[in-house]
Amino acid sequence: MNVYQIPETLPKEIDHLENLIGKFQQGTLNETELKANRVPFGVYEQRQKGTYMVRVRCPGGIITPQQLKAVAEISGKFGSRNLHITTRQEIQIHDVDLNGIVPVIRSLYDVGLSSRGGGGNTIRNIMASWDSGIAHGEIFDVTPYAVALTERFIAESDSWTLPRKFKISFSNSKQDNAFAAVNDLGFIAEIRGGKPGFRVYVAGGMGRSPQVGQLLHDFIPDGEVYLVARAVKVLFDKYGNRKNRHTARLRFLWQKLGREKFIQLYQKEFAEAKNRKLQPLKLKEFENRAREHYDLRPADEKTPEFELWKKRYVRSQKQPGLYAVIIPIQLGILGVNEAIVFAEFAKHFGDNVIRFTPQQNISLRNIPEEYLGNVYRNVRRVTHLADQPFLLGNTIVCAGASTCQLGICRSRDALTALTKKLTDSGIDLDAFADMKVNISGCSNACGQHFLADLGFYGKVGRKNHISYPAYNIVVGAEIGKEEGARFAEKVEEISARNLPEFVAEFLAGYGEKKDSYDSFTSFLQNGGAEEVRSICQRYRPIPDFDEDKNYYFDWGAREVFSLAGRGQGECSAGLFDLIEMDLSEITELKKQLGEVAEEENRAEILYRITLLSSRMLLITRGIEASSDDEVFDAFARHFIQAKLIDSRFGSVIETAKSGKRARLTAIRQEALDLAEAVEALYHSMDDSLRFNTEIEEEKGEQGDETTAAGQEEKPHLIRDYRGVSCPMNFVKTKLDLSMMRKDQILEVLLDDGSPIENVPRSVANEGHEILRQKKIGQYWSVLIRKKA
Amino acid sequence: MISFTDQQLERYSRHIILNNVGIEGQLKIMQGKVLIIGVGGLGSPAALYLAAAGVGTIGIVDADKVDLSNLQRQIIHFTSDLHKTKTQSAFEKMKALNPDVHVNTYHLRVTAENIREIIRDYDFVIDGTDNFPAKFLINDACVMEGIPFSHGGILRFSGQTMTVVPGESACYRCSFPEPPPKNAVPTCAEAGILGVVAGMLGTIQAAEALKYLIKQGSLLTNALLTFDALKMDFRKVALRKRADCPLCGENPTILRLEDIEQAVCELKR
Repeated sequence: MNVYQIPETLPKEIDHLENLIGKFQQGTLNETELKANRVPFGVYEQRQKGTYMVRVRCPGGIITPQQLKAVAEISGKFGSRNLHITTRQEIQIHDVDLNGIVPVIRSLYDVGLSSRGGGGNTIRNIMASWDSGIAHGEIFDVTPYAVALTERFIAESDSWTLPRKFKISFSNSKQDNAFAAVNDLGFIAEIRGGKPGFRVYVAGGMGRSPQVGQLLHDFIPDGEVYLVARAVKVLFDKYGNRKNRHTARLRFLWQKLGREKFIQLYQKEFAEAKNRKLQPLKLKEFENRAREHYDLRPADEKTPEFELWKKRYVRSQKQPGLYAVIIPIQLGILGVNEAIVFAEFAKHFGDNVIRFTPQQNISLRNIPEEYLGNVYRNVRRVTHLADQPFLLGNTIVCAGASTCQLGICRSRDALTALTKKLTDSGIDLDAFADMKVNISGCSNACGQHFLADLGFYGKVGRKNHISYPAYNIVVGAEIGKEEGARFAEKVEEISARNLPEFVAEFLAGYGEKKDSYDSFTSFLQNGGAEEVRSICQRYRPIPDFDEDKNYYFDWGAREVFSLAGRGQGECSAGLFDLIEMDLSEITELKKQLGEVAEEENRAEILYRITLLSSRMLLITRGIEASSDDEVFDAFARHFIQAKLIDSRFGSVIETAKSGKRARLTAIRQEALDLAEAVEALYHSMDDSLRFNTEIEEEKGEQGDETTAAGQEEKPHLIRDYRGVSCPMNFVKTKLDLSMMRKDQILEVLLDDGSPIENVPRSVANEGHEILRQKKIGQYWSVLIRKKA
Repeated sequence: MISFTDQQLERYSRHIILNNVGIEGQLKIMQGKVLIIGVGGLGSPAALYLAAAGVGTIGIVDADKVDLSNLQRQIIHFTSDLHKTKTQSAFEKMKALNPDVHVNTYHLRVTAENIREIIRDYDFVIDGTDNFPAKFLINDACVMEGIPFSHGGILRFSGQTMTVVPGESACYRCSFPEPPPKNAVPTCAEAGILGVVAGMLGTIQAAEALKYLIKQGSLLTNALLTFDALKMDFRKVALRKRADCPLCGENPTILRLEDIEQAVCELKR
């Protein structure tokens, strides 16, 4: 069985892509042109140059066991040992090299799968409720609509050249577990007068400027799904903003036009589509029923673990005697071998049995009760989370700063730390099976924090010029409400370091009172949000760098947290956070300047404005200064000498740096002009952090290390192993060194006595270089250069 | 991504300190997958040591139940385990020793039908079986799937072992093309085994698996190690990969797996 029909033109398009790749390899086609064709094919370049990711379309998250096995085998042959399940219910093949792209796409085509539209400005994978067709209380099965609309849209060439990506989703009930109300276009099943149809939302989306979907139709009969989708697509195609990709999504068009104008233009397109008497969607049924015969002996499973697992992960279907199972896949990462083992097993139950869920898990449906034991045994081979509480299996987390260019915080490592904390805490996590805890590494909402009961997204904190990893806390998303969806809202922030403690404390508190509230929302409204604030209050302020460095290391990171050097090429949300923070303080200070009378205070304000103006954009050059003077020096070098800022401002900087702040009042206008000049420069900055005025100037990154005056070799990483005895201090030092690149420098603090006698010697024995060891009071500081 | 908890660092510290293992080596061990076929005399020590070492995934295959006569040498099984399946008994000990380790159990006998599917998931296989048909089956399946394995055999006071890296080194059939005729195999009644010999040999096999995972030193390939515990003589006999090997040679005649008839044994094992 193939889930969806692939247009006959695809093989030709694949040939075309092959041709382009060939030209690129011969050097007759540049990278940008190849990219323009590659991305709409669902092929992305990964962080590591020359390696690619292929995203496979699975409408409604459906894939047959045969197809899943094939995808795994293709990945094993051309890509990585791990597949990746996405929050849009697709599956991705990673680490494919340039020569592998076309063979991968052809092999997918052979088994009825396509990656077309997986990326770029296209119709993205169309989602559907993972439990559609089997859920008790659903309105009707929406799967056929998601599949039929996919078939129609992937055959229309204008689906590949939209102003920006276009996301569609179908939910089988008001619960809206496919998040229709936060997609560009969302359909929620409803029955009116005995006829099936949909409530329709439009212009929703997450990311940096999220908007919940707006009601487009109170009800449309199911025969008009295609007309509505077609009309919205044409509208978007015609009026969407193609100039600025950051304001291109449908929701920005809605905001620009306003509701009335948007609806008016839409209705024109809808009438137009209706006039053309287009064919309605061709629906095909996806049957959910038991097979007549199973080539499998029921497993006799009676362990308490099995019983617990059934409570956590097994749901009865509306078809009597059949069950659906959720298989939690940590971070959506599914090993190729595991995928094959699972697919082989799933075959026993038919073709229509697998769905990927938006929680990056797998669900397996249509299982007769007597085979649940067999499923349990198979699940234990496929996932390490089989015996974990549902809360942990259902958490969404993005890739985070460990691999994502845009990331600020290492969200995956934060989850690992959180999981450990919760597991060790003894809290009964099964009491929170209905709760969603999601974590994003930055304000782009890949970890879907906006849809969480308790969500987190990474941000930069700053104390005394030193950055530290932190998270905004958002609470109380409401999806599936009559009046439309509501995103989780920000209530607080917490350092990354304290995040696990915060969650554990919060859950423990909520757990005690849980029974007195009918929902998490009502808890939040009646003191819950206040509880979040008061817990966070206790974790503030964070200690200074010298007091406790742990706060300045992100979870799983081996280097002090820093945004310096990140985000080249694409806008990093974290950079903007920092810049905006300084900018808003400047604006505030300017206001104050007019209000204070004493000259002394004015001088202080002007000094601060000059300092912030100088600091604001340093991060774009990969610099994080650690003192006021360093800020001024770096600004003079990278902005004034680099001719990005007029040299006439040199004197303001000199004055501020000289310590004679009082003199600033005499050149007040220049200080304010400087602030304006910097702000204007910031607004001229493009996605690659380059400025309009930027001439042949280079980033100066190489220059930085060598020219920075008076700086001896600065350690890349500082570790305090005082109080750690032999040989664990050596073991930990080895771990640190293993994370570092050659020639990087590690500073370790060691106790006097056997630690200082043994550790440096052992480190040297392994070929690393001891640069110096210095006694400071009762302990030692040792500088180690990692061997080449 | 590298990530060790403090407890893991401490648990594996004596590995990590070793220059040839270190963080990288321990990480490879923790990502490694080893299959042990037979958790009897050889499989017991191998399973315990590999679990202790932190091998990420260990599969154990055995169709038998724990019998009183096993306990003299199969040290993973205790008196309280009598009549339990060996896989269940071993699973419990390995998990108790090291909860980090993921243990897959296969309560079955490997056959031509199922073996390739099972071994495919693993990086290395340890042959801890007690009969020739199984040893030939494991050799053939591993060569066909390209999965390295350690062969082992014990009798009375002596043992023999070799490691096979398919495609690179001699396979078992390069030296022993066919299973011995039925009447040439010592029956269980004549055989007997000194318990510790099983421990000695199974431990050597586990060492080979670990070395394979961390890619250090040299494996016991193209050689057969034999020892006699009565005299404590150890000998290494050189072997070579034969071009006319019926399995891994240039013109192989064994193209698919077949079950070989088992030699009959009247006594229970």
